[in-house]
Amino acid sequence: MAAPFTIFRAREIVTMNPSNPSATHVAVRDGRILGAGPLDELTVWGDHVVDDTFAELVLVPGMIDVHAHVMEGAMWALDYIGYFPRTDPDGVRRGGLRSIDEVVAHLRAVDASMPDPTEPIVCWGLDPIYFPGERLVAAHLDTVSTERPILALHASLHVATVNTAMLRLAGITADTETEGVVRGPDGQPNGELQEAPAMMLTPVLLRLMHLLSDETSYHRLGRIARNAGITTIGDLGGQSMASPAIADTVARVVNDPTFPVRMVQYCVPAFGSAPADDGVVIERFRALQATSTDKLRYGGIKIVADGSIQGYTAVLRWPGYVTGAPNGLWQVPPHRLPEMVAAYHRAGINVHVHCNGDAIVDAFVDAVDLALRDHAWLDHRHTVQHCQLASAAQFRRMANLGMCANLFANHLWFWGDQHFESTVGPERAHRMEAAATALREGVHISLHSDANVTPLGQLHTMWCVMNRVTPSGRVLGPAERIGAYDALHAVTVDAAYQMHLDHDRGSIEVGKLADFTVLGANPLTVEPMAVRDIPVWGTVVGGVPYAAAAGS
Amino acid sequence: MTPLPFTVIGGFLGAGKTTLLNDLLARTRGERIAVLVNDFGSIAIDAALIAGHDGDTIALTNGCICCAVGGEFVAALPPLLTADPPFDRVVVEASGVSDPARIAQYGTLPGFRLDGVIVVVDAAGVIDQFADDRVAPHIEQQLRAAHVVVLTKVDLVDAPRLADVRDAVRSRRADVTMIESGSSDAAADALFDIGGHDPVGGGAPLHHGFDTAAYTAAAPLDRPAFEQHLAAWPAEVVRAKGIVRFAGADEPSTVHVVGSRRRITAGPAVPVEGGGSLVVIGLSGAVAELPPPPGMAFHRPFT
Repeated sequence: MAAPFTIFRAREIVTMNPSNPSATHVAVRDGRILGAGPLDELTVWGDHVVDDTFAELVLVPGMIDVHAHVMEGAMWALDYIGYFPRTDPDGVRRGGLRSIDEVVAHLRAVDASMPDPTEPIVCWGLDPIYFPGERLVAAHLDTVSTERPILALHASLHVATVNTAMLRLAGITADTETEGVVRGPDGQPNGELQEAPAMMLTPVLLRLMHLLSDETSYHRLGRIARNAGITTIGDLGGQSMASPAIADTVARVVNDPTFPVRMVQYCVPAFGSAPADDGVVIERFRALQATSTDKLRYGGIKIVADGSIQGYTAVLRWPGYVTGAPNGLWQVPPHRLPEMVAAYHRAGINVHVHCNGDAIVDAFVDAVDLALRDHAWLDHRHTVQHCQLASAAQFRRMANLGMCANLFANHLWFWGDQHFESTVGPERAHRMEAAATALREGVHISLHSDANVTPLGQLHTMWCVMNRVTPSGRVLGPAERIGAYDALHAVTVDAAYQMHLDHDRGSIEVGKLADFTVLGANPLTVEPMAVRDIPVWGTVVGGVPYAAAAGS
Repeated sequence: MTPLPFTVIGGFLGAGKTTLLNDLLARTRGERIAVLVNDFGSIAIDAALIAGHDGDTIALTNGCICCAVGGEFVAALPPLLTADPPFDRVVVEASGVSDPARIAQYGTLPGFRLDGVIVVVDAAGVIDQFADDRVAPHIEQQLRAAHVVVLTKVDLVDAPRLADVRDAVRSRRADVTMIESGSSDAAADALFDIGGHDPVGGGAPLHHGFDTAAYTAAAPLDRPAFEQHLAAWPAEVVRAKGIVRFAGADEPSTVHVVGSRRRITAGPAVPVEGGGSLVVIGLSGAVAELPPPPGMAFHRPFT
């Protein structure tokens, strides 16, 4: 006789299953959903125990962020000093430092707490865009310590500011030849190090690179996902194909039953370079795919085709950047994009392409169009990642071709004002992350954080597309706001859909994995502006509850 | 310790970077060269040359290695400095869409000496590439970074077309040294300083297409006049190197010229006779006419 199964009782269950939209109980056996409904419809399955842990809480389908990076886990090995508060792996709110004075005061406290006076402080998340007119330089950090080396990594990850002790440790002087060592008016290095070669002069950058493949970074990522209520995370910078050692680490960590989140990896064929032979890539990908489990899947291949809008490296259509900045450059050779898409498409591999600019969206859509003329795999679900500036016409083509879009919703909040004022200008800022247009034209959309670029948390991405409010109080493109149901659908059912997993997750429905996000309130019924403030109790993954860290 | 020379090879996909690398690996004579590529892709190393293949590294019987570094490029650099026996040169292949100038900056890190950026341009394809606004910005970026441009596939174009190609490159980088890879083995020798073309010390003779000249100085040199002279050298100078002594300086200086790049660094602390010596490699015909820097005279060991 089978062991008793569990019936979780909740205040409310939002199933996202259109045939059975809400329930009070969900029954789980062997990690999967036996059914959702009133208690008396579930007891027919036999011997059970009722678990009241969630009796006063709301269950929604386990939230999925298709696009995040292990960098999020790596960064939390460091102290966070960003302008926007952010929750660390232990659930503690960090940062929220609103001026250089606050940054310095915070670092003084960190300095005072460290017994060894030579141990460096390495911190991250400094975003000078929010300190107009002021520039953090070595002199500021020297007021923290003249002995202890300090390195503050900026949010862009392209720049760091160090103190004099770190300049000394790194051997950086007025004679240093490396570009990116910024000089002050006196001709001496002022502490700002721009781009990786200059940062590489310090002993810190290499340590960060190693963290990216370190087991601890995956563990931290798992805890952050759990705290944010995420049950499946897309690792969109998947390194497994680049390195067998990393592949082993990821498989060991994620498949461990105590790891609290499922992962779907989209493998980058070769990092920062012209990808290797397509046949070799397909062969290696298939070998990885054969090792997929419910916990760790190899979902497809990721290609990075351009840069970022706020970095002025996205490839835009006319009229380009409002500042007149030169257009961004392709990150893959233009003729290779259609070749790669066609090869992976023919092999039946789901392809996700990083396209921030609208010109690069055209290129990817063209590539899929050509691939389909050649090989009729209609259910490919190839996905435009970021897709921030797509027009209605582009969404119509995506819909016709069966493509999906994963919108970088968090940009509306974190850089919305900058986009309006100084990257693409007002009209295209109103059109960014055009969720309403995408849905109207029939595109399956999802929403993402691109963590570590913005914090992990799907209530926040939902809040962004529901309200489209910027920090200055602007509403960007009110006509593009979507309702709570559509927003929740995007981070559950359609997020699963674009990874070919909607048969198995994304709704609370018989037969699917028992993955739930446990909330303090129903996101479909609270005020739209309150969605991002809904408390997250934690998650259930495969029927096992994972409580968020209590924090402090 | 002598810094490790660091060469970057850029150029768009299909321009011929790999051919140049293959020539280099096949032609070293005792120099241990570490070649970093994105992936082994089209690297075709003669099987007879391969001593071993360990994951991402191919070891060659001539002491060179070839590493596929992909995204691990930064992490691959420090071990090159501690290799035993030490390497004589690092050559990094930049991907077709990356900015070689950015990669070149790693060559300025402690332990390395940025030697130069070599950009390979496909003479048969570049006119079309300049007309493609998706590709042209990449090639223009590469040309801005270049100290030497190597034109490849020149045998596929006729003379008027080749003249157009040279003009198109020249209009984007007036001062850049341009060589043709028709004799690419010789180009590899000149670009990577193989075989020690040092008439002062008695090095190997050069292949066709290139000439050398050597200068010596009886007395310490006037540094501003020397620098001014080098700055005015024509683009036909491919490489120059030497150890010189400047008037008033405590120790000698080392001179490295690669195409449009000129570098004078302090050291090494070795005895230098008079004002030292300088060897110049240039395109055929260009070097013989080149007057010596002020205070130096032609060194003619064979006359």
